[in-house]
Amino acid sequence: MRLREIEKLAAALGLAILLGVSFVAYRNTLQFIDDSAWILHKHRALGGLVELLSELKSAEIGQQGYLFTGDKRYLEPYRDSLDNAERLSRSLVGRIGSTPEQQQRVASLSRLLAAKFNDLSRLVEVRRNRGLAAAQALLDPDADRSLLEEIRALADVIKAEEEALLGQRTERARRVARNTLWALGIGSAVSLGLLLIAGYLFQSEIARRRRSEEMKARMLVEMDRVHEDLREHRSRLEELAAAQTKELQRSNQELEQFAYVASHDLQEPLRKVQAFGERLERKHAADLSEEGRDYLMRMVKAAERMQGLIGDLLTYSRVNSQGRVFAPVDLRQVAEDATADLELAAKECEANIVINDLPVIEADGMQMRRLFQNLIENAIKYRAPERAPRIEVVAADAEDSTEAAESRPDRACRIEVRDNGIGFEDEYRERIFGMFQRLHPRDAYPGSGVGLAICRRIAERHGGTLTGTARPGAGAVFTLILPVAQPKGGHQP
Amino acid sequence: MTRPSDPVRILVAEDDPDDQLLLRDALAEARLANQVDFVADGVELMDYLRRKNRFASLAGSPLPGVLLLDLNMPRKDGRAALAEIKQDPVLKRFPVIVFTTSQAEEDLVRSYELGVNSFIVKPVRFETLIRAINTITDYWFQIVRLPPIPESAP
Repeated sequence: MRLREIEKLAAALGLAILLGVSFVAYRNTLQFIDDSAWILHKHRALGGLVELLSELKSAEIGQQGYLFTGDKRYLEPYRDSLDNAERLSRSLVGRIGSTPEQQQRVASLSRLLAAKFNDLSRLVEVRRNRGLAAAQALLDPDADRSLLEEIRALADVIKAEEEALLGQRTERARRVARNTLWALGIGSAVSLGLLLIAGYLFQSEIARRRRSEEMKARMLVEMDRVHEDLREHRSRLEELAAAQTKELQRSNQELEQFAYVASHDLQEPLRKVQAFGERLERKHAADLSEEGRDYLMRMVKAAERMQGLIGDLLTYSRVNSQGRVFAPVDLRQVAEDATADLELAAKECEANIVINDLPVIEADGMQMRRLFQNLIENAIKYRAPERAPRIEVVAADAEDSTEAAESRPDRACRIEVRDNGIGFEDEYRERIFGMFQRLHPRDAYPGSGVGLAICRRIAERHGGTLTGTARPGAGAVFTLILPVAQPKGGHQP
Repeated sequence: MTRPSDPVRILVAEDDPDDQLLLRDALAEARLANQVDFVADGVELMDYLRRKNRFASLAGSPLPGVLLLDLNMPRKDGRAALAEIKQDPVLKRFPVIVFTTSQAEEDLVRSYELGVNSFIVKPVRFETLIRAINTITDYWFQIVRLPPIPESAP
């Protein structure tokens, strides 16, 4: 349960208890008032009973006085007391008698009292009208005493009963008062406690919220700082990357410069070796022995080969520095032109070269032509001896050919050059793109081993890739992936 | 002015003695009657054309009809010499043939921009060199009409 709910519950409970206590106290107080009135009433009634007996005695004393003396002065207090006793006796009914037994007793008492009053009045009448003797003749002290005792006894019983009731009622009133006090005390204590708990919870909730607000603010500050740090790091990294890219471009340029100068300067003496070798062969061959002529021939051939190597190195080094501006190029046209250049070689081995529909992309047309020429030339060169070469240039499905991808600026096309030649072992799939890397002895397949390196370099200059896969004896597939559009400024360093 | 029957003089600006020797051999094998002069760099070339310093003694003799110019030479290279020749009011009328090992496109373009008449990459094989010499002389001395040659530059 969440703190908020506990807090609400505590407050609600406190309120409910307070209401309950108030209700109980209200009800008890009503009861108490009621009881108190009743008790007062009973006390009065009991007082009346006592007074009645006392008045009865006074009346009797007055009557006795009159009976024996005949003095009329006794009659006045006698009459007052009798009147009072009769009035009190009448008022007993209704004031006393909450139980049927008690009512019965009260009724009996009333009857007895009426008899007594009657006796008293009769004797007084007799004394006044017929004198003392007649009255004394009527007087029966025993009967009189027994009636009085009966009245007294009954009054005592009634009184005792009423007092018992009164005691019960008083006890109940006291209990109610005590209960009310307890209920008020405990209820107040409990609700006070609950209200204190709710208040404490509320207080701690506020404190918690304040703390969490502070924490949030601190975290925001911290996050800002972290963001700032990240931004700094990123910009530093970007600077570093830019610096490294620049450095790489510079070192690339230097390398190209070196390769260019080296190959150019290497060509000079080589040309001399070739030229003078030729002069020697032409003018002085007759002066040489058979062995001498063989040496000379080997020398001239080696020089020729070196010429080829240097030429390729030069071409390789100039892919980037001597590249032309990118313009829309119809790759199909380019591939067909490249094939036309190889017509003679293709005819010689009855090669079947199929150029499928290829896309138009932004590229260096000359380099694209060179790329296709090298790839097709390779496919012819490394044909399987037992079958006529079949070479296919196709635009394969790019990974993403949806309409959304079609319109993306970094869209790429995928072109495959497939052949049915001798292929190569998979472990050489990267090595074949290295400079001067060959998989076969020179006398089996002539060439400098730079062709594929140049192809890959051309692909990379266009922001693309060139990879090869093959199985020995089952042909090779060279996959060219090129961006359709070039970014402004191109990929040249 | 020179008499039309006189074979036109050929001037070769070439610093490499091996290349000079090969050219001489090729010219000899081509059995040309033309006289061939050699200069070793751009400075000598300009002196020769203007009959100055070492070539002051040539004053009064006819200037060459065709110039074969190597691009890579010490002191003053062929590019600078070509620019100077093509800015000279008299010398600019001479056909200049760049004869170089450079295959750089910028050299090719720059040379034609400067007004060169032909750009020939030095053949690697001697046979080809002889053929090139024959073609050049055939073209420039048999087919083409050259401008009149002054005694010397102003």
